[in-house]
Amino acid sequence: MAITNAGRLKLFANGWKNNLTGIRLLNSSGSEVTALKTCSFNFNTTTKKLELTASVTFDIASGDNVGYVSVGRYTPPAGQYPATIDEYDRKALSQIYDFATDGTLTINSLSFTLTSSYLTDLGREYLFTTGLQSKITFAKCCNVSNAVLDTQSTSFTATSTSFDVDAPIVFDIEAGKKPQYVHLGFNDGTDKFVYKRTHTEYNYPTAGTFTINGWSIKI
Amino acid sequence: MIKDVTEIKSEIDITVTGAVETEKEQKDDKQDT
Repeated sequence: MAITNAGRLKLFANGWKNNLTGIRLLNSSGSEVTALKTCSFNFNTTTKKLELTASVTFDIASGDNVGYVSVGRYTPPAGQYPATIDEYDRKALSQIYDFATDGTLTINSLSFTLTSSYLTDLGREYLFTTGLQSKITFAKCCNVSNAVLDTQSTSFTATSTSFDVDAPIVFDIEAGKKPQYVHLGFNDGTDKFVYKRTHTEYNYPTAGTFTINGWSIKI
Repeated sequence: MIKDVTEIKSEIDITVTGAVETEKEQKDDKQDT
């Protein structure tokens, strides 16, 4: 187990930067070992990673073991109940650590990286910091030289399983044009591209339409 | 229908005192140090 359904939804919809606020340790059975702690993450524009801002140390009691690190959104305690987290990612450690005596476990660093053939650097940053849902308002169909052939409004919605286009995208293509790329982004005074996708090159000897019936991005 | 996949990977660095390492039983996606 790594990213959870709640984590997937939160990442695409809102980003993780302001939502990874709690961290805890779990034993080999998945039960919480110690009380969770608050934490914070920042996006490193150089490494393109979402990084824990400061180390976190847990005191572990004799007899406990630690097998997983779990992060998510910290939920303050309500009434008599202890604080908990809405878990977004659970990382298995390479070993199970058995504590024969009281001890400590310090997380010196923890970082997340996105790997995609199509996310731009800006898209990578927005996916971690704000989510992509609010950052895709247009789709541009381009030729091999990145000349724009047509622009259409579009939107995507995050779910717990994927990030999907809300409606088919229909581009109008003039005669003699050859669409090959579709770029997604938004305009805040200038066009900002978050996702650039290559297609097979199509040839339009006469004017026609180029339709993307569905588009699903999974993580 | 376009179907794309984006992967997310994590890296962790930990320091432990008072524990011994035992045989790993669960799946891991990245080596911790």
